[in-house]
This record gives sequence, structure tokens and C-alpha cells, in this order.
Amino acid sequence: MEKITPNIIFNISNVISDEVIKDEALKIMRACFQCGTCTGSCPSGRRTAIRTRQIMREAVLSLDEVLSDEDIWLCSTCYTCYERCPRNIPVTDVIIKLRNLATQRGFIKPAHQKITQILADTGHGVPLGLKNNSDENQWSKSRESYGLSKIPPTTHSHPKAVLDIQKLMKLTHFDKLVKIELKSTNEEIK
Amino acid sequence: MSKKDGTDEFEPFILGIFCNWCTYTGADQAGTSRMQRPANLRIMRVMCSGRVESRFIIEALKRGADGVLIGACHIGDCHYVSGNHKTVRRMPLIKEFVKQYGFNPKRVRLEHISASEGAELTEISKEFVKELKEIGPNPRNKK
Amino acid sequence: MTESNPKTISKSINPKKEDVRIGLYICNCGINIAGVLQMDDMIEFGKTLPNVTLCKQYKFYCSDNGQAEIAKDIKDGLVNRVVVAACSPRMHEPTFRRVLKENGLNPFYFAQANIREHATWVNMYDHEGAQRIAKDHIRMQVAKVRKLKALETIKVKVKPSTLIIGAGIAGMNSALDLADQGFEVFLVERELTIGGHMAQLDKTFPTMDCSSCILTPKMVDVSRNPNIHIMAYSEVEQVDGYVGNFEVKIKHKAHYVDQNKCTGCGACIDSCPVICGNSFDLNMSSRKAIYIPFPQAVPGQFTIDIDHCIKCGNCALPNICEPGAIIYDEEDHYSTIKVGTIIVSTGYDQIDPTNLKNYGYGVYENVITGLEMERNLSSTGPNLGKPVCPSNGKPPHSIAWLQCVGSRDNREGYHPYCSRVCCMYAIKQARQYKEKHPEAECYIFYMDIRAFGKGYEEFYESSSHNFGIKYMRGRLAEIYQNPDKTLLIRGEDTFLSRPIALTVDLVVLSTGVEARTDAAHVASMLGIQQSSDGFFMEAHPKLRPIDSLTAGIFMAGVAQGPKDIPDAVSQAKGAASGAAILMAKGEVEVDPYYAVVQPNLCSGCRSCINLCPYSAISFDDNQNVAYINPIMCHGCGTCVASCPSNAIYQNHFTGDQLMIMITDVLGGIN
Ligand SMILES: Cc1cc2nc3c(=O)[nH]c(=O)nc-3n(C[C@H](O)[C@H](O)[C@H](O)COP(=O)(O)OP(=O)(O)OC[C@H]3O[C@@H](n4cnc5c(N)ncnc54)[C@H](O)[C@@H]3O)c2cc1C
Ligand code: SF4
Ligand code: SF4
Repeated sequence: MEKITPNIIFNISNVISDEVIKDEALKIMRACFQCGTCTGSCPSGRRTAIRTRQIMREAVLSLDEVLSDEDIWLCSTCYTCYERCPRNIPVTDVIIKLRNLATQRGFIKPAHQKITQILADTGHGVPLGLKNNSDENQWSKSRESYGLSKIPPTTHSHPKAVLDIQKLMKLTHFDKLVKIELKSTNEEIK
Repeated sequence: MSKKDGTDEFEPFILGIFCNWCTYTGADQAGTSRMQRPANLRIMRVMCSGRVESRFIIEALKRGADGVLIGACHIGDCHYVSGNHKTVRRMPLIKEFVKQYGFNPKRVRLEHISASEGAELTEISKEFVKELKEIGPNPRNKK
Repeated sequence: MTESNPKTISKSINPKKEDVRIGLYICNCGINIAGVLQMDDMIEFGKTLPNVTLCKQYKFYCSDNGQAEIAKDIKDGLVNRVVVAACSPRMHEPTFRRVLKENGLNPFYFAQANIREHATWVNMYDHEGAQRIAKDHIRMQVAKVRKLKALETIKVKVKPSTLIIGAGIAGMNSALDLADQGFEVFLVERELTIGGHMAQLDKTFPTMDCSSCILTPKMVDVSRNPNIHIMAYSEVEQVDGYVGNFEVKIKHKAHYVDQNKCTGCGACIDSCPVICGNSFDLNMSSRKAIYIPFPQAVPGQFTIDIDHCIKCGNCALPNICEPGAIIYDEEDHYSTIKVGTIIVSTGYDQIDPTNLKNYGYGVYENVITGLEMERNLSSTGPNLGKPVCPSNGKPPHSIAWLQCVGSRDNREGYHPYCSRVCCMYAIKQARQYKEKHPEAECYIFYMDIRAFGKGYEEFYESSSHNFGIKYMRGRLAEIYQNPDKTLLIRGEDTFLSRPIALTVDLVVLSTGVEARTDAAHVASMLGIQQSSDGFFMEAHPKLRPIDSLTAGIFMAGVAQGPKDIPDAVSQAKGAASGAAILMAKGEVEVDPYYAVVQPNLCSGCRSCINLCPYSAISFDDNQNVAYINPIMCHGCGTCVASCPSNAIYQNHFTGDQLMIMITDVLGGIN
């Protein structure tokens, strides 16, 4: 996707903020008074370029770059800003909402796309390392030591359920949204 | 009033009887702060909620009001020391009357709303309108 | 219970039934009403109502021209009852009643329909809905006015004396103004000395005059004024009565030192073996168990802190206390006073930042509050005016002030409002420190600097220009303590859009002000209201910012809302003037909304008697009926609603008058 980074602000609108505040709980975003508590609290921002306060500003003014820049993806959702914001703004939730909007507009990072592909294929965002014989896996030994089944009762034990997941993805057009291939055939999903 | 989609949406008539010192002032505050609420609430003023007689409520319901909202100060804050306390004590009896007249007792509410609680009044009226829409119109209004 | 007499309680002088001619005046209130309602339709509707002989609209009926129009219609004999559909009657009912009265009509032949606050302002976008509500409100008031009876106001005498609760700078100023006009003042102060928070401050912004130098002479004036009775170490226990005639019970806490005998010589201090925290210095210094809060305290007699006293008997020895003033077993005592007016000036508490864990107050030694810094800067304070780091006793090289601590914070337990003094006191403190330590680094972390008063912006400008104080725009996120007890502070410089982490020696949390913890108790004792911020509520935020909703009770200073000294003093003078007006007139008119028992209907059941909170109802054993004393009745109407024989009516709120509102408005919707 083309990146939009104008140096002068030519256009302020409500396009993005209106979409965010469709969720009543996020409406208070508009009360952000730019104090910077969120940025100062952000453990990610100390190492990366994310400036939480700036994201809030851009979102309120509906500047397109808030969706196209990669900053919103640098939030680790630790919720520290959420707890400390003196205006009681659910900052983290706003960022998550912005990510949803970014995805809808095609601003999705290849890495995230890959994760959704893995999710579609295995039913897990982070699948267990099942390649070797499961008896050999360190994690399955620990599970057993706690009296649990070797393999957790997820799609790993019920591979058929992956089909259900794909069915949901199809129904909700998630596959189109994140532009991934559903490997099973249409017939199978039905 | 029936809507395009065929559902019978009616606009409940709510009679508010508010005490001068707390709830009426709170309603003024809601106004000055431009807090928007559905247009269902008519407000009349008494000096104290203790002045509210059961016949006011019964009469209102008999004549077709869908709900009656009595507004009083919080307990302990009554301008007349304890008028609201007596209102609270009267409520169970009033509700009993209401039931015997064949009305759903949920049509009558006593709420404690202070002079600075315009926001609470707004919330309560929204909620009451919603509840009355669920309960449906006053049976006496059905033709 | 009362000496006042109702001058006139008249019987109704009703016009004959057929003779009711109502003038209905629908106000546009600029666009506040006319911008939402279809005025032509409203007028047409108004004309259809029973007994309405004329129905008009005008831009502003409260204006001179508007009032003149109503007056003319009355004088021309066109109307004999008036309904104005406009704002809240709490705003303009007195205005319009005056118009009726001045034009020979009984003022109680008036009713006001609230179609602004209760219709157009709460249904700004639903015009049809607003129209519907406005019509119903008019219908109700037109119905009511048809049934209204002529009444005469009650006149009650106002005692020429005032109770002032709280003797900070506000209470003291009110006291002096009233006393100088010859009124008697009872100045009740909870602490041992008058002066309030101002006594704890060092210098005052923006002029930098020394707080005690301007306060102490005032305290002396108060103590010397023969019309002022200082009741220190006392609290109001109970308030009865009403405007003009309040009866107040006051508790005087035991001093354990006879205040009449104590000469304030101070010989006892050395004899006392107990050392405890000095609360005047926020426990940053110590004092003995027998003490005065500070040398200039008024009154200046000693008191024993009985919680710490071990009753060793030293101070009571005749060679120590020569006048023999010590009384270890003294008890609290009570007194009752009668006053005509009351001023509440109880001030504020400082916000406690302990629960803001990310700032570490109470955990890190070098994090202190604004008031603690104030004591540190004071030459009479624990460090004799030379602030030091609590951890090592050395003067800090770098200090950071953090603004809006507990204010402008919507989270549970803190306050959305601005405390209005913290910006200025932080600038003042930083400048004071820089005056003594020009090499020091002073940072003020702020979101907005609110320098709104006279000379304040100039003071702010000078602080960076002439003193080099650095303003950092951004609210600090967190504070950590380094092993050497210096502090690592983190936040964002929002102008640079960069996170910052600095090490400083001392952090001052610019904590704001909040309502006293006992404000709710004081409010309910006096029958006044609190706003949602906890401070006492004014009768009207703009036009009556000093009156409470209860007649005869005024408020002054921070008790009503955050403010600085000049504003507190101005308000105090306003409150004194409000009280003085009532007392100078000597009588007030009270709405005659009292209840009346109709002896021919009373069955003598006595149900009402115990319901009256004011014991206004007595029983006439001869006639076997109840009787209500109209002066003692406050007009709540509780007894009316309870009378099984329907024998009691309340003036202006009779059963008929309220019932017809209900039946007419509901007749309307069917
Ligand atoms: C750190 C700090 C620095 C400040 N610096 C400045 C400055 O430089 N310049 C400036 O203009 N303003 C300054 N202010 C603001 C100033 O303190 C207030 O404006 C002023 O003190 C308000 O006076 P008051 O009389 O309203 O209240 P208070 O000073 O709080 O007085 C109230 C009095 O009422 C008494 N009381 C309370 N409850 C009761 C009760 N129930 N019964 C009997 N008595 C009671 C209290 O004991 C107290 O004596 C500062 C504030 C702070 C926190
Ligand atoms: S902490 Fe809250 S108010 Fe402050 S900048 Fe961040 S989102 Fe805005
Ligand atoms: S209205 Fe009745 S109960 Fe209320 S104060 Fe008067 S006499 Fe007492």
C-alpha cells in the first residue's frame, strides 16, 4: 500500500474518528487533552517509534497516516496507558480499533498476514511444534507431569475443527479482509 | 403510532413529580448542561416529595399515563429533614394500590436525584422510557 | 421557638369563578425556545386552553419591555391571572410575581411553565418532542393557575447576628465586614487557631508578599473586634430554624487548659516530656503535648493534646503554671446561639496522592506535596525556609513539580475539575527556590498553565525569562527511586514528541484542593446542597454564586469551589453583604406555603402530628382537632399527603391545584 506522509496538514475530517466512536465506549477519545501520560508510560515507545499521544491526536483529526503508519502495530497491549490516562480513555482499545480500520483499508503488515494464514491452516496463531513425534516434545512431557493430556484439546487434537474455523472465516469474509487463501476446498468447508 | 416496519412503537407518557430542592433543580441542571433525553417526561413541582399523595399517582394512571416518576432528595439530604423518608415508607403501600387498580407496579418509580445529578436524571429517564416500552402502553389507552 | 410574628395571613380573596381571565405569555428566549418550537403553532394551541383570554409571544419576557407588556395587559383589565411559559421558575418566578404585585394583582395568581430547561434544552434535536412536552407543561400551569388562590407572604424578623463556620481568610473577612457594620458575629473554627490554610503558606502569588505579614494583622483585628465572638476548637452540632431565626448548637472541645486563666506565657512547654508530630507543619516537625499551633495563633492560649498527654502532672505544678490553668479532666461543653444568617466558609482539604502508586508518594522520601513544600519554604517551617531533600537533609539541586495531581483526572477517586491554584503556587515555589539557589534546575511538568488572574501571566512569563524555570509540557507517567534516593522521572515532552527520563533530587506533587471530608455532613446539617464536585452548591452558577438554595445561608471561599486568596476574599465580602442586606432590612418575606388544618374536616386521628419534622402540629384537646402553627411550618406538605380525612391543605400546593394539573394534562393526550 502507498504510504501517505504529507508534511503539511491539508485536511482534517471526522472520517476515522467517526468510525472509532461508533463504539460508544471509545467516544471519550475525543476528550484527549494531549497530556502525554500514555507515551511516557509506554514500554514499547521507549524503544520504538510509537507515540501513543500522537496516535490519539491523529485519530481525533482523522489524519490518514494514523492507519497507514506502522506505529499502531507497535503497541504491545500492556494496558499501562489505559490505566493511567487521566481522561479515562481506553487508549489500548482505541488502538485496537484503529488496527481493525487499518486492516479494512488494506494496511496490514506481511507478518500479520502470515499469522492469520497460520491461524486458518492450523487453528492456532502460534501452533505447537507438532512436527516431531509428540512423545518427544518437552511441552507434552510437562503437560503429562501435571496430569493433562499430551496434546491440548484444541484443533491439535481435533484437526476436523480447522474446517469449522475456516467456515467461520469464510462466512465473516475474514479471508478476504486479510487476503489469505483457505486451503480446504469450498466443498469441504460447506 | 405504528412505524413503517409494522412494530408498534409507542411514546410513553411519563409524569414526573419532583421536589423543588433536589430533583427539580437537578432537572434544571440537566437543561442548562443540555443533556438530551427522550421527549417523554412532563414535570410538575412540589416543595417536597413528602407532599405526593397516592391519589395523584392513581389518578395519573387511571387517566392514561404510562409511568409516574417521583423525584426526591437522597436520604439524609431532604430540605425538610425527612419528608423523602416518609415517601419511601409510603411507596410499598402506593405500589399495592397500583396493583389493585390493575396496573403493573413497575409503572411507578421513586428515584433519589440530587440538585447536581442532571446526568442521573437523564439516564433514569432513558432507562424508564425503555422499560415502559417493554411493558407496553397503559391498558386504559387501548381502544 | 420563635419570636417572629406573621404580619398578615389573609383569607382568600378569590375573584368569582366566571371571572378568570388568563394571559398566557410564551417567551422566545431568543432562539433558546423559538429556535426549537413552532411558535405560531404554540400560540394557536395556547388560545384553545380554557380561560385563556390572550396568548402572546415575545423575544424576552424577562426584559423591561416584556414585563411592560404583561403589566399593560393587567392594568388594562384584560387579564387577571398570568402564565409565563419560559425558563425555570427557579430563575424568574420572583421577577414576574413582582410585575403582578406592582400592577395591583395578587402575586400568587402567577404560574410559570418551564419549557426551556425541561423541554427545548433537553430535546434540542427532537423538535416535535419538545413541542409536545412544552404544550403539556403549559397545559399543566394553565390548569393550575385557574385554581390558584390569592395569598400574602409571611414576614419574619431577621436577628442581627451571623454564624460563620470556618475562620480561614474567607470567614475572617466576612466576619470583619459584618462586625464593622454593627452586626454580632459568631466565628466558629474547628482548629485551635483562626487563619486557615493561609497561615501555612509562605509567600503569596503573584505579588510575593509574605503570607503571615498580611494575615496576622487581620487575625489580630478579628480578635480585637468587640462584635466578633471567636469560638475556636469548636464545631457546629445542630442547626434548627429558618432564615432570620436559626438556632445553633455548638460543641466546644475541651482544651484541658483553662482558657481564661492561661496567659500564653509558654512556661509549660519545657516541662512537657512528650514529643509528637506537629500537624501545623504536616508532621514534618515536632511539638510538645501541650502547645499552641504557631506563635502568632489567635487565640493564643495553650491546649493539651490529650491523645498524646501521659498526664505526668509536670505542667500542672504551681511553679510551672502559676495561674493554675491546667485541668486534666475538663470535658467538652455545649452552647446554643440564635442567629439570623449563616455563612459557610469551611475551605478545603488537600488532595491525598498516596493512591497514585506510580508517583510513589509515601514510599519515596523525596516525593512531597505542594503544601509540604510550602511549609519547607516558610521561614517559620520545619527547615526555617531552606528546603532540603528529606532523604539526606541537603538542599536539592534539581526539583520537578508535577501539575494536576488529583485534579483534571477523571479516574475514580480523583477530580475532573481544575483546582485553580496549583499552577500559580508551583511557579511561585519554583521562583522562590531559584531566588535562593540560582544554580538549581527547576522543571514544571504541566498540561496547561492557567495564569488567569491579574498579574498572573506576567508572573509566569517572568519566571522563565528572569529565573530560567523550565516548563515541560507533558504529564509525568511514573517516578522511580534510584539507590541514592534521587528520583528517576519518566514522561513525554509532548512538544518534542519524545519520551524523557530525567534524574532529579526532589519531586513536588502539585496536589489540588478538594471538598472537606465532612462536607456532606455539614451540608445535611444546614440543609444546603453539594455540587457533583463535592463543594457547596450555589443557588445559581452565574447570578447567585454566593447564596445557597436555603434562604439566609451564604457561602464563601474554597468551600464553594476552588479559588485563590483574592477570589476567596471577594466572595467573602459578597457573602457578608448578602447577610447584611437581610439583617439591615430586619425582615424577610417568606413564601406562605404553610399547611392548614380545616377543623370542620379533621377527625382528630392525630396521624399528622408525629410526621411533622418541625413539631409544628399541636393538638387542641378542647375541639379535638389538630392545629398547625404557620410560623413553625416549613411547608413540605408531608402531613397533607398523610391525612386520611383530607382535612389539611397546603397553600399554593392544594390537592385541587395539583390534581387539576394531572387531569388536564392527561385529558390532553387521550
Ligand atoms: C500549596 C498551596 C499554596 C497556595 N498558595 C497560594 C498563594 O500563593 N496565593 C493565593 O492567592 N492562594 C494560594 N493558595 C490558595 C489558598 O490557600 C486558598 O485560596 C485560601 O486559603 C482559601 O481560604 P478559605 O478561607 O476559603 O479556606 P481555608 O483556608 O481552608 O479555611 C477554612 C477554615 O475553616 C475551618 N473549618 C473547616 N471545616 C470546619 C467545620 N466543619 N467547622 C468549623 N470550622 C471548620 C478550617 O479549620 C479552616 O480554618 C494556595 C493553596 C495551596 C494548597
Ligand atoms: S494519557 Fe489519555 S489524555 Fe493523555 S495523551 Fe494519552 S490518551 Fe490523551
Ligand atoms: S407541611 Fe405539615 S409536616 Fe410539613 S412542615 Fe408544615 S405542618 Fe409540618
